[in-house]
Amino acid sequence: MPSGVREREAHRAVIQFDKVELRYPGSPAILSDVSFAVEEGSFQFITGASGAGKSSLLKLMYLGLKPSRGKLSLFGQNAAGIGRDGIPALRRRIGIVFQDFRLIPHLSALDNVALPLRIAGARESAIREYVPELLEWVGLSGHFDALPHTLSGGQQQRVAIARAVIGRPQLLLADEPTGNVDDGVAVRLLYLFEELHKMGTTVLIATHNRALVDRFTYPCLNVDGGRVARVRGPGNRRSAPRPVGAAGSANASQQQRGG
Amino acid sequence: MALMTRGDIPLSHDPSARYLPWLLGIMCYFAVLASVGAVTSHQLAARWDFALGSVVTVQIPAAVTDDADAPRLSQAERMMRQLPGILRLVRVDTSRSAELLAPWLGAELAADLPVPRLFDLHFATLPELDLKQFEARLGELFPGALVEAHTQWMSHVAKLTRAVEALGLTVLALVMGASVVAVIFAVRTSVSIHRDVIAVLHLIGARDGYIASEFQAHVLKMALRGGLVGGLFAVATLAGMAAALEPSAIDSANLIPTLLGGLPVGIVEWILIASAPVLVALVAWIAARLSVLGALRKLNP
Repeated sequence: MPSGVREREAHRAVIQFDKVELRYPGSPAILSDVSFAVEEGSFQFITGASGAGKSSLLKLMYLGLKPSRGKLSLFGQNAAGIGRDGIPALRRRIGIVFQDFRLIPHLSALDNVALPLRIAGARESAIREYVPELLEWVGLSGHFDALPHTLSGGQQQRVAIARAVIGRPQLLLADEPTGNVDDGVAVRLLYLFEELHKMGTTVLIATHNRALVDRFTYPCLNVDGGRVARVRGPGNRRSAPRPVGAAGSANASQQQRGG
Repeated sequence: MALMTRGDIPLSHDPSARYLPWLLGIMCYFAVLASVGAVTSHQLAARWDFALGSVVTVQIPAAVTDDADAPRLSQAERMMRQLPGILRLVRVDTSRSAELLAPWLGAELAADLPVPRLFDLHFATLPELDLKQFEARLGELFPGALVEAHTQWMSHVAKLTRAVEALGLTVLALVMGASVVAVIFAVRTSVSIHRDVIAVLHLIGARDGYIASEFQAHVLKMALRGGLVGGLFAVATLAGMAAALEPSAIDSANLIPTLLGGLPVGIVEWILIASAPVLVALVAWIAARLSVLGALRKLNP
C-alpha cells in the first residue's frame, strides 16, 4: 500500500461499536449499550474478569455473533450489511487467536499455521518459506511435524498465534493469548504482537492478566457487567475507570488522535 | 486440481469412505449393464426395421399340378407387381422350400410334399396398403392365399425391444438417483462429523467453495475407484454372456446370434461402457458439491 494512502487512512476506525447490545433470546444481555471505536493501527488491551464478556466482544468483532441491537462497523462497513458471502473476505483481513486455540487436530503444527495461506491461495513455495520461519520465531523449531495433541498447552498456544499472524492481518484479535505460558514467554509473544503492530496491524488483546497489561502503556478497555469502559487512554497509565458512551467514544477517539 | 486432496478435513477416516466406493461400484456395474442393454436393444430394433420391416410375404397354396395353375399364378404375380411402392418381387423356389423343410421331414419326403408357393414382396418403405383387402383379392384366385406382413410381427418385437430399451434407461436413471441419494447421505454425515474443523476453516476465512472442494475431491476419488471396479465386473459379465451365446455353443442354425446380432463390441458400446463409471463419478461429484454447499449453509446460516 502506498504510504500516502496509509497516512490518509491512519485514523480511520477499524472497529466501531455504536450502542451495541448482545443477548440470547430469553436471557439477560451479555453486553449492553457498548459504544467505542478502535482506530486503525492502534494497539489495545481488553481486560475484565473471566465471563465478563470479553470473548463475546471479540466474537462480535469477527462476526461470530451478530449484535442484537445497535450498530457495529468493521473496516468502515456496517456489519448488518455484510452477507454470508462477504464474511470470508472480511475474516481474511482478521487474525484470530482463540482462547481454546482451535487447532485442527489431524494437521501438523506446520500445516495448521499454513492454513490461512492455503485458504488465501498462496503458492506452496511461499508457504514452505514463511511458515517454518515463523514457527522458529515462536520457539517451535523442533515441532514442525508435531500434531497438536502432542504439544503442551503453551506450545499449542504459540501455534495458534503463529496461525493468526502468518497472513499479516490488518486486525489481530487475541483472546487470552498468554493464558497458558509463563510470564517470560508471555512477554515474548506480546513482542511478536508489537512487531505486527509496527507493520501496521491493529491489535486487540483480551486478557485477565492485569500484571501483563501494566507492563505496557497501551490503551485499555475494561469489560464489566456487560458494559465496556475505557480504563486507560493512550499515554495515561492509570486513568480512573469511566463509562464509555457515545460521547465517551468521541472523547476516546480524540484522545487517541492526540496521542 | 479437483483430484488433489489437501486433507484439511480428515475425510478418509469417515464411515462413508468404507461403504461409498462399494456402493458406487455396484451402481456402476448396473449402470454399464443397463446402458449396454438399452443401446443393444435400440440397435437391434433399428436393424430389424431395416431388414424385415419392408417385406411382405405372399403364400399361395400348393397346386395339384403346376401347369394347371400357371395362368392364375401369372395373374397373381401381375397383381403383386402392380402394388404401389413395390421394389422387387422374389419368388421363393419350391426346391428352396424343400431344402428348408428337409432337416425336419427328411429330404425325400420334403421333395414330394406339396409345399405352398412363396413370394417375397420388397417395398421401399413400410407398405401402407390394405393387406387384408389384397389377401381377399388373391383369395378369389387362390382360395387360402395368405398375405403376411412382417411389420405386424415386427411391431410386437419392436415393442419388446423398446420396452427393454426403456427398462435399461429406467434402471440407469434409478442407479443415478440412488447414487445421488447415497452421496448426499454420506456427505451430510461427513459435514456433521467434521463441523468443528469446518467452523475453524470458516473462521480463518475459508469460503464454502474451498471446503466443498475437499468433499468433492474425496467423493470423486471414491466414485472413480468404485466405478473402475464395478465397470470391470460389468465387462466381465458381458464377456461371459458373449461366450455363452457363442454360435458354436448353441446350434448350427445360429438362431440366437442371428436374432441378437451378437453382443455389442462396437466402438460406441465401448465408449458407453467406459463412460458409465465416469458418468457415475461426475454425478456423484456434482451431488457432493451441491449437498456440501447446502449442508454448510444449514450449519452456518
